[in-house]
Amino acid sequence: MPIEFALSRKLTRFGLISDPRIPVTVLTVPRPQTFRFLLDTGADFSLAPRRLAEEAGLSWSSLDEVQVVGVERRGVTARLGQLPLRIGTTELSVRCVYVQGPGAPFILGRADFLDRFVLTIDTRRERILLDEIGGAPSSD
Amino acid sequence: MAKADSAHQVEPTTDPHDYPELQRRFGGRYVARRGTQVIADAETYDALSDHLRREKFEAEDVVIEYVDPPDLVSAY
Repeated sequence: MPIEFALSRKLTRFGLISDPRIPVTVLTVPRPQTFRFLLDTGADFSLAPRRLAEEAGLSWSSLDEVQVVGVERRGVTARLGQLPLRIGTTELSVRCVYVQGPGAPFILGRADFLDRFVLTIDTRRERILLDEIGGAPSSD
Repeated sequence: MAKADSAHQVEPTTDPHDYPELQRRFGGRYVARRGTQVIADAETYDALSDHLRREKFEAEDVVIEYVDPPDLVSAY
């Protein structure tokens, strides 16, 4: 069954554009918390601030170090770990690059997340649809 | 035939009703909202998280996000 979200719009220097962010529950300890994540088909892996790794119960020192590059190609050092999520009624764990430093966004990328869903961004209806591959078929 | 929406699990909207206004007020900051009301904001996620923990605001109905500045173009 597809999960449907509202598609919001954001302001840029050059006007309004669509902003495909969705609320996702992260299974943090001691209790889950909700974050708005950007759905980014250009991101290999999901991305989040370092603190979220610790709140998800991960030990920073035990995580593998990884270089992350954006368009500026300079790269930042980060660590790869699991991010336990709940979206709708589905619980899943995705590999996530945790970034130390200010301004780290909340991003859901292809590995383990977008690869698992059919993503529809319907700007006409202002809706985002996520349909899990192999999930129960919709009746419409 | 079932109505289209009956086949969808529609998540209750947690979007700010006016995200551009949120950007104008909190662009470049992390915010925590309950509904459309911003209950806390901070320059870093660590600072916001510490504040939420101190004030016992950790709950699933509180939505945490990074607000993009309105004058930048993002290429994540």
